[in-house]
Amino acid sequence: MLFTINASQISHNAFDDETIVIHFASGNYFSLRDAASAIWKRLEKQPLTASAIAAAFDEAPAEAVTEVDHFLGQLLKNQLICETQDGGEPESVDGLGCWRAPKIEIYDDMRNTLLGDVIHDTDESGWPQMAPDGLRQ
Amino acid sequence: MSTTTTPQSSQAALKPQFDLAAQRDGLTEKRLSIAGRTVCFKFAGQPLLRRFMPALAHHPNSDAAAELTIHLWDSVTPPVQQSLQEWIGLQPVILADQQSGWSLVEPGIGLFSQLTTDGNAFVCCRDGNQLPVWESAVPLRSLLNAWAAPQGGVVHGAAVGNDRGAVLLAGVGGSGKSSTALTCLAEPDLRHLGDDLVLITNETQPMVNSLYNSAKLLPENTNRFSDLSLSVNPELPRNPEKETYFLFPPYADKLAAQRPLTAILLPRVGGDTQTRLSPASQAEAWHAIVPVTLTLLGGSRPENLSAIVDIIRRVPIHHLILGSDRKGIAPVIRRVLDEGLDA
Repeated sequence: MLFTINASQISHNAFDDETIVIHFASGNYFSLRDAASAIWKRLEKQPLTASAIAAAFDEAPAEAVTEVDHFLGQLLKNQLICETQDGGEPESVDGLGCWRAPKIEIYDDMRNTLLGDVIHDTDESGWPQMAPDGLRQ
Repeated sequence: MSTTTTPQSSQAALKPQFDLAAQRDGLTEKRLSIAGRTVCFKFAGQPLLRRFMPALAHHPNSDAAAELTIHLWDSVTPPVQQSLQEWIGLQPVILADQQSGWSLVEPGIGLFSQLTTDGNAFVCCRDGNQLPVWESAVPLRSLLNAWAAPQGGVVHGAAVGNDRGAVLLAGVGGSGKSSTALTCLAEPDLRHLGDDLVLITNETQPMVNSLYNSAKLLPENTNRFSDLSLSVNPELPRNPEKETYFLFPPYADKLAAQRPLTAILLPRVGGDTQTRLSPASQAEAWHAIVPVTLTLLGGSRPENLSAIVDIIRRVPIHHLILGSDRKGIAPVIRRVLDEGLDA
């Protein structure tokens, strides 16, 4: 199975030590560091399979494909990547260095940063009643 | 969402509504220079004028041709027929396409904003007198953000500077950015550009631009600034949870309109007496600026995000570890402004 970045749904920025991806529809954002960021940058270049990614690591253990597959599953579940039939050349993946398990940090708390003074803070009766914390939109 | 209108139909539908309201309730025009560009505000009636202008009143008048003309009026009925569903719902809806420009429907507070591609904007409010107090502190923020793209964007942060440049103080609520900005208000050589939201632009060099002269303080912090002459606007509703103060006119000579962006500082309260700097990454700046900005604006254009990220990549970034001695804050900021982040 080939995977590619779901470009129409996201905004992503690569910094020196971290790639950050926003999924606009959900409002969630995601931090990819180290191996996860390196994999993302490869996916930017071409669609890839889990096995091709795992093979790009030096001294990847047997469970590497499973771990990469799990990582890609998280990206897929959050609609950051999608499956594609439009193949690249998986065997040409640039080396990813020594094996490190890729990890993703998911931030789904953007709505908790509302600070009590933004447009969402209304309850069903509308302004001016403030919604209790548990009922915020 | 399927609710979109073309520029022609927007103008055709909205301008006559505004004209009728202006004829009925009277027209007040304000032409201000914001971020070096002339914005003409046309208010039909008094409610929105009374609610929106205090936070914008520090911008100088301009005689130049307006790059943006904002028409503002009250209406109990939705301004665009197709938006009725959104008008009576709860969720804010942003509508954007290349033809109609950008629209935001905020049914919870009864506010409709549309920016067309021909330099006009239309802001219709269900009842300007009933707008929540935060709309008076940072009015039209999403509209101005949409207008600023692609050269810049509105960001969550405070900004202070001197004659040479300014620093953006970015962080979530409680990180100390407002307190830092207000502390600098007492310094004779430092200027204030914003407390909560500023406009950063990215043309020949990154710039920070003042948008609002409002400042918000939690009650527990008010006593810390008893030496400042902070006053509320008696014509506006109060928010005891976080009082809004207006620095114009009392601090008119302390407010700056625009400065080159020297650095981004990420304040946080430290455990020491002295204030100090420590290196921060670009990603840390992103985390400090972008999520809360998106939340406060109810979303943002990808072009705005690109401009913000470009600016993050162009300026030095440090943590500002705030010490308990308030007097030590301004000297650190002054050194950053005068000497750079090697200070």
